[in-house]
Amino acid sequence: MLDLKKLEEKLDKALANETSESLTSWLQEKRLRTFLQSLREGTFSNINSTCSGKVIKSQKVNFEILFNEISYSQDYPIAA
Amino acid sequence: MSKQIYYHTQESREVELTAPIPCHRNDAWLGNATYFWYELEDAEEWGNNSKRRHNYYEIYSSNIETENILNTVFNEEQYYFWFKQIEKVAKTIISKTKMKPSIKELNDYFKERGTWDDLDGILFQDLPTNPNKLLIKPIEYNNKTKKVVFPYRKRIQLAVYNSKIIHTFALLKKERCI
Repeated sequence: MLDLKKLEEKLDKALANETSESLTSWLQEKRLRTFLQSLREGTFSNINSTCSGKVIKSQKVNFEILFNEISYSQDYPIAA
Repeated sequence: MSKQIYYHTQESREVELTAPIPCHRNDAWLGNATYFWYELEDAEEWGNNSKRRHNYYEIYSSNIETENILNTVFNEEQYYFWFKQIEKVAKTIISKTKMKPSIKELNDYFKERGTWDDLDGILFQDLPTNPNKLLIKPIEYNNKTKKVVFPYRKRIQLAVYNSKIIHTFALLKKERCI
């Protein structure tokens, strides 16, 4: 039988020890891992090389917007 | 020890499975777990909608120990417990990080930071997505110009974190996708 009191105590203890830095770091690392994992799940397709020699400017990704879009999608993509 | 039959749907492969396949998809609601359906009807629906790669899907049945599963669907105390913990963790994450967590991240928090090792799985529900299978006429609004389906049936899934509670696993049927 599940001991709900014990589960809650464990959780409360963990939350009491959290700081903004520890939680932000945990969440960002998790989202980065998820994002990188999603890139690996992509498929490859052949494209013609059009190398121009120019350096492409790096693009900053706003993960909060990205994940809010995923989290609050109207679709309900549960998995089984 | 209480046990119950649940159903696991997969696309049909050349070789019959001997164990269920854990789900590692990023959009899996309750994180990395092995997912089962509570009702055969939903297992079939999932096969027809999401396991179409080889034109056939398979449904396996499993006898699963339920003692340390958090039953958020039928157990009132456990539902409110889960609800309270979700809101508590979500509020803390939002206040400290200014970011809203997803349901998967919340469940990951329970397991990883809250060290909920005693929890073998979670029984949870959403609502069926196929209105054609529901027997109640949609509710009509605005002089019958707007119809809203009333999803009176629960669609229930079990996410298993501890594979030791899965006592049996056997092929129940193989069907062509429709």
